[in-house]
Amino acid sequence: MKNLIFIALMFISSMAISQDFTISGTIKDASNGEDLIGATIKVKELPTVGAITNVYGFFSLSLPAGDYTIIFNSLGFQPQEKKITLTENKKFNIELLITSTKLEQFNVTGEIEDENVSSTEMGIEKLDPKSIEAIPVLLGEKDIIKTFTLMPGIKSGGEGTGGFFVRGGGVDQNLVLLDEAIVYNASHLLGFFSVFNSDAIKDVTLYKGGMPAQYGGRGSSVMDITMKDGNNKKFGASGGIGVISSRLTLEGPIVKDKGSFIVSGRRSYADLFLKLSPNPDFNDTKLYFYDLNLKANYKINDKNRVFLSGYFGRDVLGVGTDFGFNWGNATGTLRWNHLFSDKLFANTSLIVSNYDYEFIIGGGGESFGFKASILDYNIKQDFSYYLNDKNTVKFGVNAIYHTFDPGQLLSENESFTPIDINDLLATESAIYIQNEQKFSELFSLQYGLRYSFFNYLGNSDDVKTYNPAGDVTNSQFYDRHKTVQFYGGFEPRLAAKYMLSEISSIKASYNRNYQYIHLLSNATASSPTDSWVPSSNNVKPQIINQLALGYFRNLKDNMYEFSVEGYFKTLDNQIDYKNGAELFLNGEVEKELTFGKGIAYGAEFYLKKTKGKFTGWLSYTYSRSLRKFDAINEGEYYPARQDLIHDISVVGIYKFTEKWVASASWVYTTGLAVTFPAGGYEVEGVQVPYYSGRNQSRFPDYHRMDLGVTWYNKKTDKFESNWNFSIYNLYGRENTFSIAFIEDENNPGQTVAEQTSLFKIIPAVTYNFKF
Amino acid sequence: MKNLIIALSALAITVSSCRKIIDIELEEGDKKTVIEASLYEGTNDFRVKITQTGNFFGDNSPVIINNATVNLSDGVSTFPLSFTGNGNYYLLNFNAVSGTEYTLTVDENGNSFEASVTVPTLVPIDTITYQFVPDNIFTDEGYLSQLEFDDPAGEKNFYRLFVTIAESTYGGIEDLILLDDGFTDGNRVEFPTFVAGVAQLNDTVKIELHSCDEATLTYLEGVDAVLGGGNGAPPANPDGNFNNGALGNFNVYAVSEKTVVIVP
Repeated sequence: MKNLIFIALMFISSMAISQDFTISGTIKDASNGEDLIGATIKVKELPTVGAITNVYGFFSLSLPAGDYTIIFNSLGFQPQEKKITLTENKKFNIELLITSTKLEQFNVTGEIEDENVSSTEMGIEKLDPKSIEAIPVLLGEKDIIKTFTLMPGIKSGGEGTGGFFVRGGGVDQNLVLLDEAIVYNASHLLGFFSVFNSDAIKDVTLYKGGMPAQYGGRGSSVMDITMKDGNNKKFGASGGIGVISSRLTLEGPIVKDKGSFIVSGRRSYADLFLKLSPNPDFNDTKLYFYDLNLKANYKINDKNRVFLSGYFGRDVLGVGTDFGFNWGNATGTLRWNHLFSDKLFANTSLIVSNYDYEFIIGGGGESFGFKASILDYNIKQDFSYYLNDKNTVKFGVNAIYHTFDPGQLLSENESFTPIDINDLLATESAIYIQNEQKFSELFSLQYGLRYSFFNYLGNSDDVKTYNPAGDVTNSQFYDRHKTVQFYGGFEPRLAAKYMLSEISSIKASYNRNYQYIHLLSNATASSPTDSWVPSSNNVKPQIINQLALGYFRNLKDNMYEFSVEGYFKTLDNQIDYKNGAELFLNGEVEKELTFGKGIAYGAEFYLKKTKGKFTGWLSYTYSRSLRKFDAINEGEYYPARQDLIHDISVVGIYKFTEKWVASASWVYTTGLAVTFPAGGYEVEGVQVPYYSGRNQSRFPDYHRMDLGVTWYNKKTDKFESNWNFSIYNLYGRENTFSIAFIEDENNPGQTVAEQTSLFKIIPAVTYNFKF
Repeated sequence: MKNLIIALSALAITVSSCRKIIDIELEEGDKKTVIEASLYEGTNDFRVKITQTGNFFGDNSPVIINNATVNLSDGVSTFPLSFTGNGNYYLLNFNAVSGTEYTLTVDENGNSFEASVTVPTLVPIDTITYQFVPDNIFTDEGYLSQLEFDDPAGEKNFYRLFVTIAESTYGGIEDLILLDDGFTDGNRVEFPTFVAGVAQLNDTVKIELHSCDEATLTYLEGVDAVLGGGNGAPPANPDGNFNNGALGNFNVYAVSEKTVVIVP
């Protein structure tokens, strides 16, 4: 640790102290005062010099004394120029006007022109909810995660499964952050919809690789979601009425131009249709979810600003009074932005995240209930030091206190002894430093180091150690908060860019990520009852290394963007269940685990048209994801379930007029790798399948086409609205949800495969408004 | 529990889901020997059935093994089983004693398979009660039976149940009823037999409580899991107690049973 700080001091002090002056400030949307993330600050006289705003809209750029023309710009806004004579530090609070022509709004990603080629980062995808509103989705429910799965290297687990897979990694290897708070289960209704209400979201960035050093804790990806701040100019309301749910958002100033709030809610009402059913089994059924996003911010003065944000969401399933099941996330983030100087920006965050689920079965003295949860308290301190126009240094610390409640059973039936498995406690901490350095006009490097460490803590209980056979080899009592097991490791992060020409570049990146908490999933897709467990004396942290290489090129004045990225990953200390593992209320679940490793590699091709009446993209990914466990497949490599070898997405958006926009998308994916029988035998006279290896068979290939049309009503200053019509699965492809082996009705005694598919052709209509 | 969740999600999507029979390709697996044996406490005929894995689709009648040598040993004496045709090997009127360890050995085409079990102690059924229930989500209207027995304290106990109502029996391999005392050790167990449905007036209800060992329960749970269908979790062959990769299991039981007739 000492060494790290020493190295950090060394490399900061080795940089020349410059005699520059600093321009700094914020860039906002003039219409509502929202901070603009990733807005650019360019200097006309120095074409290679520039800066980008951070998630709080802040920028800082140091230049030698002189006369300059500064251009402030952001996607979808009119650029603003300012002529300055720089003889002292200057502050700008810029408000940009939205471009009058709507054309720009249909730029399909939230990226600045040319950024794909010129930025140092690679393996990064950005979306803002506005830009995806025309893309057709299931039941018209705008869903940021589902839209990301149309990007190369990001795959869906199929219909009816939650979560997503990034570059061959598991669902639990995605770090999903909502205003910095970890969201443990990002799915509603068993995976049909994500928990993120698009109306409350400003910006989403997904890192598939080459993560900056400020992120850690998960192996495969980071999805960083920023909520809207709320309109600080005037009060407004917006919302939508759809087939499955309705949304309402209220926002307005707390003090004009100084503070604002936003409240955004969404509730589904599928169960209201079930109530109309004459079948009592259906009309007694509860089935809904809701989300509530809240955020407020206040600018105390030019140097200090505070934010408070929260998210509450829940799914409720129930049948009559005999069965109830509900689950949900709750998060809260309190942030304080502080400017120590024009060059040193600091943010302090206090974060709480909770995920829990509960079910109750039976009634009238015979019921029993089950609860499990995970609760995090998290403190983060991040600094950005805008040293000069060549170096931007970021450093910080982070500490999380985890409480895992694996489960408690409550029962009214006297023959059950109530069970409460002791909570598991752990701390997860990290310290990092990173510099983005421009060595020349052509070459830039982002290099950083993160040191993360993890303490598995005792909780006034015996801690058992198991051998691979699952037998206890040691049992020792630990007091509460006494360290049982310590893990720590260095996570180097590196990204390099070399410009081949003004319109093309090559990039390379390497990152190592430690993952200290793990998802134990009964099914291979995510489900609300999956449980998270910490690394411990029996479970080692996952270590994932990724090496990536990419070529980026823009064509026809940035009208087309093309890229190809290749990656290779190693995954160590991967976890799976032993055959026949018992998970439910098992206080000794660790003895049911087996450990192995994996590799993943692939190539991602991406061609995007960003301008004009017709926009969209074409994406093809070839990838493999393999695992190796001593206890599975006799120690041979086998395909992970998410080993979706070929993956194609085509998205097209056509703007006929200001009022009419049509869109279409088509996806094709190799079927999921699954375990099917290799033969059969009889047990007590009944045929039982015989399995010879894990994941040696495939579901049929998945493909689907969707179509959408959006009609914009005449926009006035006071009111705007649109109608969105969509058809999901236009040609009625019966994609596989599950395959069951059943007795052939026509040939008793013989077995056939029966496929269940969920959605044939699903039309939907949604009405959206804003005033 | 998982099944219930799947059932509910299935219910939620029934509206639009559809099913059809499809052709899929399966890989060819190696042929494995399958040994089915069940030893009951007391004097009973002891049967062992030996087969081989066959096709999954199409002609899937079991491949019979007729040339095996099968022996049961109690550590003192060895009792050879005699082949009676169709893959069956028998030991007539064999007395299996509670607490004794028995080893079954099968020699077949140069391969040898072995498994050992200890005969459990019988746990007696105390009583079967019943009460009238109205139509609900678990059962129809009728009389719901409840099995009551005292679980022996301080030891792990495992049970398989058979419930016969008006001559139809629940608890076979396709509708297994399995219990363990993980949450109920030493308690009086009151188990309402929802899964078997309800009885009507004048029906005879018979419940058999098969105490078994942990390996038998684990094996039966494994069979239950693979028969449950392909809903996501990677399926695996049930873990049996034979060595050298033989499928099947050497089950062991001690059976107590009780019968009641439903009267108003």
